[in-house]
Amino acid sequence: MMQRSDCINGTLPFECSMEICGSEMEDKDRMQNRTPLLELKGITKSFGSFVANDHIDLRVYPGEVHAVLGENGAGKSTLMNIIYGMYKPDSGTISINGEKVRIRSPKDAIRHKIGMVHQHFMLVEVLSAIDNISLLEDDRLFVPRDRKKVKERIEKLQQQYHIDVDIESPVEQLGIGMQQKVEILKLLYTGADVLIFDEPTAVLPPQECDSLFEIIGNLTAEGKGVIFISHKLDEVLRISRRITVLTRGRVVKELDASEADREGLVRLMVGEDIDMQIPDHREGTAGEVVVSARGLRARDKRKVMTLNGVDLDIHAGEIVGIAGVDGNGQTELAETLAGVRHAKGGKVFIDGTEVSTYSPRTFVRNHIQYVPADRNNIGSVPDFPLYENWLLRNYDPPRRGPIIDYHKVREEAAEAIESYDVRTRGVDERTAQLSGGNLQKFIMARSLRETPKLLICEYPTRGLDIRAAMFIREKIVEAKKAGCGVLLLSGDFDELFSLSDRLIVMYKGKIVGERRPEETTVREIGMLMMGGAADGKAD
Amino acid sequence: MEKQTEEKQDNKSAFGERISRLHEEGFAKKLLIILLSVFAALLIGAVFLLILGVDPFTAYFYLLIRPFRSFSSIGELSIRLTPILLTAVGVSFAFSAKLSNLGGEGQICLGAIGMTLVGTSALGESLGAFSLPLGMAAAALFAALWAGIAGFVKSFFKASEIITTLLLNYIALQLLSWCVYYPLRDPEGNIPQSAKIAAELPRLFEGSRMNLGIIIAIAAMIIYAVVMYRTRFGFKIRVLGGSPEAARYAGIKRTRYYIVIMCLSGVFTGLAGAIEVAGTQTRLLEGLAGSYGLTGVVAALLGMLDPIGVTLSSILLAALESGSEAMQVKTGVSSLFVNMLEALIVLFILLGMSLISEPGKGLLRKKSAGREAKA
Repeated sequence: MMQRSDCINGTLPFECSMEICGSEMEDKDRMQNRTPLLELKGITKSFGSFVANDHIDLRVYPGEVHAVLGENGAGKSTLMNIIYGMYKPDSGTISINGEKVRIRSPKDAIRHKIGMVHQHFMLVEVLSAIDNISLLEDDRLFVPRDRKKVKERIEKLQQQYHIDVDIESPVEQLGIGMQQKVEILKLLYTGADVLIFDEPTAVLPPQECDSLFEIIGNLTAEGKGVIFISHKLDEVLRISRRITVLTRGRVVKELDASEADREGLVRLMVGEDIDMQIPDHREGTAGEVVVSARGLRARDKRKVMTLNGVDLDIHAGEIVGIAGVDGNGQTELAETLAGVRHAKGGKVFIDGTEVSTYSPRTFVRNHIQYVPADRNNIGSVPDFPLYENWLLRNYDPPRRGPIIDYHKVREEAAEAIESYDVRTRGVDERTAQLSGGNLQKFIMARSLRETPKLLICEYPTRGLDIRAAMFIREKIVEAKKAGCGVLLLSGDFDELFSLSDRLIVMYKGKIVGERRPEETTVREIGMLMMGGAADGKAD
Repeated sequence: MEKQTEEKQDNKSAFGERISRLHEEGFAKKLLIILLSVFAALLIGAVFLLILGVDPFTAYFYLLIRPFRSFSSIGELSIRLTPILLTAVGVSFAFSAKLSNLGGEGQICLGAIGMTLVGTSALGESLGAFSLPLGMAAAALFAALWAGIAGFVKSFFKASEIITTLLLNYIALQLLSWCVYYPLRDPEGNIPQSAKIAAELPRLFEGSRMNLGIIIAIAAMIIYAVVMYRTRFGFKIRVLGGSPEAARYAGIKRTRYYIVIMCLSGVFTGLAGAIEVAGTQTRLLEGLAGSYGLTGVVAALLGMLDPIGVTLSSILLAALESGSEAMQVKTGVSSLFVNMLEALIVLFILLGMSLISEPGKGLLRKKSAGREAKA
C-alpha cells in the first residue's frame, strides 16, 4: 500500500514541495496577522429543519490552496453557493480583504473578485474562448466589442499563468480539460482573486489533472487564493496547504496539510474508522472461461473504430481490471461484451459457444449483467419509479400470462432496497431523485439479483463518496466469490489494484499489457496507458 | 378463494400506485398547468367574444355545457368523441416512445378507404353485418402499413417521423379524393362520394346517434392502458420514450420497435377512419378525416399520455367541437372559434411545461461531466 502511494507521487511532474515545506513560513504569516483574502465567520444556512451549514469558519489567504474536504452531503456545495451569492446565509459574515461584504448574487461575487469553476462548465459551446470571454466584457446592446483588445488581454493572462489553450476554436471542439482551462481564463479575466474549484478533477482524465494542478500552482504563486473542493484525499494532500474538513454541515477540523495523513482525514470525514482495505480475496483459483473475445473490433458513437482486435478470456470467479485513458476502447469492449454494441469484427463466445453481438437478448438471457458508467440515463430511466427500473434489462419479470405481476415486482425491488441500504422514500420514488451513491447501489442490487455469469462494471465508483464506494467494491468482491466473472473498468488505481486478479491495460483499442497487481506498480501501468513500453521508457 | 384475495391485493396496489403518482410533485404541477392553460385560453377567448359583442357566458354555455345536457346531444358528442379517442389512443402509443405521429389524418383516410373497399364490394354485400369486422380489419391493416412507412424510413434512413407523417397526410388526402372521384365513386350519384356501405354500426339507443363505435373506442383505451402499464411490450415502449440509451442498455432493438410502434399506432387511427365511415357517414367522402388527426394529438398530449387524462381531454375536445355548431347557430360566432381555443390551450401548456422543465436546455447548455456529456 505504502509502496503504491510512493509510486503515485513518483509519477508527478509537478512537485509540491513549495506548499509542504512552507509550513513554518506560514505560521509566521499568521502571526503577523496577514489579512485573509476571504474570511467566513459563523456561516449558518438551513433548509427547513435541515442544517446544511452550521457555524462555519473559513479563511483563505493569498497564495494558498485551501481544501474543503467532505463526503457528499457534508455541506461543501451549500457553502460554496453562499460564497458565490447563490444562497443567502441565515447568519454569519463574509469579509473580503478584512472588509465585511454582502454577496447577493454571482454578479456581486464577481465584483468582489470571487470566481468559481463549476463542475458543469458555463460556456457557450459554439463560440470560441475569446468570444465566450468577451461576453463578460459588456452587456450593453449594439456596442461593438473590441475583440482584439480582449484577445490581447487573454494572451497576457495565458503567459502570466502558463495556461496553454486554443482560444480561437469553438469551445465544443476542445477537450474537457481544455474547456476547464477556458473557464479558469474567464475567471482571471474578471480579475478574480479567490478562485473556487468545485471538484475540478471529477471530470478529468488522470494526465490532465497534473496540468490543472500546475495551473493552480501558478495561480497561488501569483498571490491568488484558491478554494479546492474535493473528496479525493490524494489530490487534497498533494496540492493544498490548509485543509478544512466538513461533516454534516460542521467544521470538524481545520489543519495544515503537512500534519495530515490519509487515514486521519478519512476518520475525520466519515466520523469513525471505516475499513478502507478490501479483505484479501485472491486465494481461490479461477474457474472455467465464461466469456471470451477473439479479435474483437467495434466502433464508437462517432463511428470511429476504437476497439481494434482484442483477445480476452474472463474466467468464473476472477476480477479482470481494465486500465486505460478514456477513449482507448475500454468502453466499447465493455459494451460489446454486454451485448449492447455490435461488433464490427471478431467473435464473442459465451461458455464456449459463439454468439452474435446483434442479439442483445442472448447476452441478457445468459446472465451477463452490466453496470454502465452513466447511471442516470443508461443504467436507469430517470422518469420511472424505482420499481419499474427494477425491470430494466430483465427479460423474465414475474408475470401472470402476458401481464406483469407488478405486485411481486414491487416486493422484489423493496427487498433489494432494504438489503442494499438504498436510502429512498420507497419504490415509488422517481429514480431521478436518488443520489449517485444510492442509485448505484440500486443498480448493483438489480445486476446481482441472480448471480450473473459475468458482471461488467464501468467506472462503478466514479463520483461516489467513500462509504458508497466501499460498499460497491465489497459487493463486487462478493459476486466474484460467488463464482461470477467480473470485468472492471476503472480510472481509480487504488480500486484497480485492490480488486483485480489480473490487470489489463488498453491503448488505442488494443491490449498492450497484462500484469498481476501484486507484481506491478502504478508507475508501470501508467506508462503502459500512455502507450509507453513496459520497461518504463515512453516511445 | 386464494386467487380472489390475491386479485384484491393487486387492485389495491394498482390503486395505490395511481394515488402515489398523483401525489408526486411533478404530476401535480403538470395537472395544475393543464387546468390553468384551459382556464387562460377560455379567458382570452372571452376577450374576443366581448369584442364580437357576444356574451362569453352564453357562448361557453353552448360550447361546454350544452353538449352534455340532453340525451341526443350526448349522442352527438359521442360520435365526435369516437374518432378523437381512437386517434388519441393511436398517437399515444407513438408518443410514449417519443415518436411524434402527426399522421393521424392520413391514417384515418387510409382506414376509411379500407372500410369502404370492403363495404362496397360484392363480398361485403354478401356478408351483410359481418362485413363490419372484416372492414375494420382492412382499415387497421391499411393504416398500419401507411404509418409503418414512417416508422420504416425513421429506422433505416433516420428521416424525422414528424416530417414524414405530415407529408404522408397530403398523399393520403389526395388518394382519398382520387378514390371518391374514380374507382369508388357511387355509380348512381353525381357527387364525388362512394356508394353506401353494406352495413352500418348498430345504434345503441333509440333517439340518439350514439353507436357501437364508442364502445370500440373505450375498449381501445382500456387496451392501451393495459398494454402500456401492465405488459413487457408497453414497458419497452416507455423505456424507449424515457431514455433511448437505457433502451439500448436493456437490449431493446430500436429500429424494430420504431416500426412496430408506428404500425400499432396506425391500427387505432385506422379504426377511427373505419368507424367514421361505418358509424357516422355510411360512405366515403372528401374531408371525412376533418381535423380529427390533429385533435387526437392534442388530446393525447393534453392528457399527458395517461389513459384517464387522455380520455378526459378527448371528452373536452369532443364537447368543444360538437358544441361549436350550436354556438354558431345561437350566437353567430363562427365554429372556427374552437380552433383558436384549442391552439391557445396547447400554447399555454407548452409555455407552462417549458417553465417547469429542467434548466440548462437552452443556448447555455450545461456541459455535464465526462462520458455523460458524450452520451
